[in-house]
Amino acid sequence: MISVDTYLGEFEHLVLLAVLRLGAEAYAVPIRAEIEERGGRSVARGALYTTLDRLEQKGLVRSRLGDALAERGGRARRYYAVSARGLASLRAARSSIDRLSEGLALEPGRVTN
Amino acid sequence: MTGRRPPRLAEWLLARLVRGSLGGEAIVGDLAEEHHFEARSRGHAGAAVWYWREALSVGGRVLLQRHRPRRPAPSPFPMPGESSMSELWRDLRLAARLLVHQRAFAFIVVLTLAVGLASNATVMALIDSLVVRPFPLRDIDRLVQVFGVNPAGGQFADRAEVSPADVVDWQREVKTAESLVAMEWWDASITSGTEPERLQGFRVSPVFFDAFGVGVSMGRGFTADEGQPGRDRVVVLGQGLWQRRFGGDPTIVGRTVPLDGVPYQVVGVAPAGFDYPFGSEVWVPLAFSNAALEHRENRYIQVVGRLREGATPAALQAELATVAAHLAKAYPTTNRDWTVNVMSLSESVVDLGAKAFLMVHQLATILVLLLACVNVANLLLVRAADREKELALRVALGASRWRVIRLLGIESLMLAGLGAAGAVPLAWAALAGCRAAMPPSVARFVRGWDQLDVDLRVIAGLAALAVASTLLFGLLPALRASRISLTDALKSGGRTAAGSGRHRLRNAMVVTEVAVALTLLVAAGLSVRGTLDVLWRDDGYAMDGVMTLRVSLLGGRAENGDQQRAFFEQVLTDVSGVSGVDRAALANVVPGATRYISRTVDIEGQPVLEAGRRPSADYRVVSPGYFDALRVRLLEGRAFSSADTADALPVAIVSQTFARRTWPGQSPIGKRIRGTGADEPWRTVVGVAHDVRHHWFADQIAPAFYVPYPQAPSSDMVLILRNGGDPSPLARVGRDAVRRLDATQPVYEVRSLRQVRADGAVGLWFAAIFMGAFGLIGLLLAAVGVYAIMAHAVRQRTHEIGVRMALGASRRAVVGTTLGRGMALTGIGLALGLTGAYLLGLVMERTLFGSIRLDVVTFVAFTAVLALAALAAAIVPARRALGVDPMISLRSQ
Repeated sequence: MISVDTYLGEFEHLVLLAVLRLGAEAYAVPIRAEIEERGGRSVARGALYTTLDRLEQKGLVRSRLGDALAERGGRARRYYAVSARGLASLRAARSSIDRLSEGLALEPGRVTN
Repeated sequence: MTGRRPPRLAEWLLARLVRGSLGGEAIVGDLAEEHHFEARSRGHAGAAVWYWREALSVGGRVLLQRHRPRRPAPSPFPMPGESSMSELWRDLRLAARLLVHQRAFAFIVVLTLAVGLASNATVMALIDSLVVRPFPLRDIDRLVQVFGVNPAGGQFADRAEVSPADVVDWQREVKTAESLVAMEWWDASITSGTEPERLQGFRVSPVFFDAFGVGVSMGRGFTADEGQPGRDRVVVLGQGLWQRRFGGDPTIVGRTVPLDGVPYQVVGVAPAGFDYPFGSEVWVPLAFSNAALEHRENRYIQVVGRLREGATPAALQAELATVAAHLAKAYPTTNRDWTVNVMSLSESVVDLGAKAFLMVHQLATILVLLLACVNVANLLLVRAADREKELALRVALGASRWRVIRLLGIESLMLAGLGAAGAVPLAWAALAGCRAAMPPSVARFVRGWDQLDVDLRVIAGLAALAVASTLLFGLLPALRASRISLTDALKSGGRTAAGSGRHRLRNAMVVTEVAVALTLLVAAGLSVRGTLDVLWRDDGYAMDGVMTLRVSLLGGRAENGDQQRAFFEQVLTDVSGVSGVDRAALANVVPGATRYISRTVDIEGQPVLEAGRRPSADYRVVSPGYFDALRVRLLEGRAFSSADTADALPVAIVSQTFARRTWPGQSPIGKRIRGTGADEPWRTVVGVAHDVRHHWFADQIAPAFYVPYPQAPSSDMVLILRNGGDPSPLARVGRDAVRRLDATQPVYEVRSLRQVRADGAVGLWFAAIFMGAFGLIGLLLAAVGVYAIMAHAVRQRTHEIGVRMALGASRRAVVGTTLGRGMALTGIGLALGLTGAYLLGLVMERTLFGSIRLDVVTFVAFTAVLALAALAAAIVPARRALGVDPMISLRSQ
């Protein structure tokens, strides 16, 4: 059992989900594209890098370097994967949101209570 | 392919910015990859723009992220368990941040301190170079100068020269000194090459170079047997002379050079920088002739001794005093009551009075620094008032009083450190100015002048002063600030809560500013006035429009009196015919020159005293036109005329002081005198001349007597030329006249009489410029300081003034109380300042050779100047008090 005591920021949450979706292809360029496409918001590259950095420091993602590629000027890609701890954080966040949302009708136009 | 590459500079920059961060390399790669796509959609140029924007944005962001967590702003509060070192470090960083934030404030404080500290450093460097260690010699502590002490007394009685026979006796008897070096002035002309040149030289005992411990840089020094007459035709050249005249010729040793027309063999070259005594460039062995050794009354030898290891100057003094006592017994006519005076060489080469003179200036600079400190203290107090809430908060949150004091202390220390750093270039510039402004003809007599610099010793002194001034300007505000009452400070009306203690402090500061500034101003006024007085004083002769040229004949021309007379009379005749020359004359010495010749005299009809006690008088050999050329008035009798030839009746003219002292109440005309000496004739006094003050610093005018040149010819004379105005063209006239007659004769010391006087009084000039500068700085600091204090006082009283005006006080009354308070303080300051100025003036009167006279005008004038400045400084804030709108000031509650 991994204790989950790490609070996830909203953007961190999005980044973690994007990494999870991309699987083996998760490096910064597609991660950003994924969030912009599915998340429907623009992402500053600098913010993404610093967030990935922070997530790795918190132990929520792991990274490895791929092979050097010519179109990148001979530089390698850094691939990210969600760690067990990251997964736990996502689950914890999802369940707390679920619990808090239970019974609430959030569709537009229908406000109860 | 290259077109698809990102812009290189941007990529390089990005790589630098993200280097070291976790994904560094990958980030550069990612952007390169994306650039690849962007280039397709945007085109080459668009992609480049895109890349630049992204690179800067990503790089900046990553860089910020990387640095933010590692360098948080220092917390102003101590962390539990924090070590005292890191606490100190935090205080340092806090202080530094504060100074950076308050740049204008820091700049003013640092500038004020830099000026105050630089004044001190400049005078410190002067004292260090001229007084403390005028010689850069290794064994300087073992070197002493030995003077005779003249029982007749007088201004320079304890620095008398010594007779050759006495020196020889001392040398034989002395045990505590390794060697005693005898030295005799010996100006020599070098005549090899084209232009003859006059050199400063000395005849010295052969042991000279060993005694000074300097040796020679090439060849050898003198051997003992070269101190014998006949074997003394060898010379050691100075490094500068060797470079200048012989191009540093390495084969110079062994060659002969003509000095005063006599061939001397070069045996060595002195080390670079060695020019003792008095800027010497040639040294030859001193060999006493039997004739010289017979006359113990002729004292013209200077003596320097090298002490044995461990011996003290006092021991040598005691030993030589015993020898002198024996000599006094053995030769009572010449030596009775003559004793000796042993001084360390460093001490003896310091100009008489230079120490006291420099001390007075150091005192002045300390006052300047005091003013600077008061100004800075005020600025800090004002700022502390603005920071009251911040400091109170710190105390409220648990900072101890000590910590608040330390924080403020570190700030002050930092300010002082920056001030000291700023003072270094200022002092350096001032000293460079000093070196450049000193004429070389004088600089060679001022030991240590050429080594004036801001060295490590001066910097150490600066640092010490900076710390001391920190205590002065920083401690009081810090102590005061640390005693903040929390409730008072945090209340919004805290500003009016300034206690009476603060009033007292502020009053004390105003009084100090005014008092110190007045002291400085009056000192400056006295110094400048005294210098101008000396420069323009009537010393009994006219110095405007007069050019002087010294000629020392060599070879056949100098052989006998007839030759000398013939040469100089021809020169006189030649120059008299040149248009533009109004008057021409000759003299052995001109007034104001460093050289001066005096002789003992016998008076007919008065008992002849023994040799040591005969009256002495300045001896002037002059041509008939001398009195006319220099406008020296004749009070009685006649001037010399062309009838006073070599074969005519020997005559003399005496000065009024000579006449008064020798024949009080009688006319000297017709009386007879003679200079002491075997061949001297009795001379009949034919006239009385007005007194001439030879040296500006002489406290008394010495008696003098004049003899006509044809009756006392000499090979060494000064040609005096006068015209109606600017004398500078006369230099050419004089040189040409001599050259036409004989181009091998050296002409030197070509200076106008005004220049001679200015050179002689250059020390006074320096004093005047220094004091003047200190006075001006003082005035400026005080004006600015008083203004700042008054302005702050008004600001703090805004509320009170508002209440008064709301209650119906007239504008007059408001201005009156504000101004009245300032002027009352100024008055106290002026009274104290006058006292200080009077005391400093008394000291200056004693130390500046009587050039300073305490005059009421200077005191009154500068008191008025300062009172006006203080009034102006108080009136501006007072007028501002008028502008206070009662409603606004009350509402600010």
